Amino acid sequence: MKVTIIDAGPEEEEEIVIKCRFLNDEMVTLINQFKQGGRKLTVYRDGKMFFLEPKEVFYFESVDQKVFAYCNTQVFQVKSKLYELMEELPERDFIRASKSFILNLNKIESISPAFGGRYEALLKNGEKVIISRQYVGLLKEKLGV
Amino acid sequence: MLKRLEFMVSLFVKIATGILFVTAVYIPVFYGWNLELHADILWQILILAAVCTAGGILLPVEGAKEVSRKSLLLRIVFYFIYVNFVVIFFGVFVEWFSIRDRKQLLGMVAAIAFVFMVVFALSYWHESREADRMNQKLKERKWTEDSSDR
Repeated sequence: MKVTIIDAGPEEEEEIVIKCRFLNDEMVTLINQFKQGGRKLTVYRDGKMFFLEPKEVFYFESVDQKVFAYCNTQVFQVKSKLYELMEELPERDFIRASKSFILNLNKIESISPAFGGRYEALLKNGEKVIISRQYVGLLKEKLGV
Repeated sequence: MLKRLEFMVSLFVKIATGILFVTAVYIPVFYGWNLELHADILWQILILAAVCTAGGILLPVEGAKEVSRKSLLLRIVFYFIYVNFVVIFFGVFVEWFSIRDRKQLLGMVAAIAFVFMVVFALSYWHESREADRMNQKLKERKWTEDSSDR
């Protein structure tokens, strides 16, 4: 996609003009990010679009090529892949817990050892998520252990 | 690679300690308190610990590719069989015991199982301590978050 930045005159209002043949999902997400100041996630449920603060999400899970955001009581679908989400989410708060999970560190109640070098995170909503051996090092690094 | 090296060194220390402990119990039980030993036994313990540690390559380390629970259990079982084979072969070779003496042989198998359990218990204890450290950091993090919200 070509990006053009034009100097606005001193009297002109600043604006973003999107020139496209049709609005695809990627474009809609971009527009929403601009509208929301880039802080909220665009999520979907029952065919409706919602904007979600990343801090509300307990974890993201990838199931059958679809990514879901799990909040305290609600589940939303996210159009981004997990690796794309890792770039969008606040680096300080989210970690990759396994190939199919991204975990919000602020939603962890406690961590306990699981079998064979893995750890189990008990979340504040009572759910348990396994932190795989592959990502334990990253977790320790992020926590400063 | 560094993690693997760290793991192997840690495993070696645990196994060597386990073998030393088992030897200290095994010798008085089967040979009495007055048996005189040569300095060779120290090197034999170290060599046996090193060979047993080599089999630890089967066990996954932190940061390594994820293995399923079933695969992990299988690896542990294979490792246990490997350690049994190595210890019995080595023990007979350096004449720590006779293969014909069933009591001694059973004693050794029990000792191996004991060392195995102790090593796994130590690993679990180490992981529990790591989890405690992480929980402490999570608490500190929560405290920082709450302070910045105020």
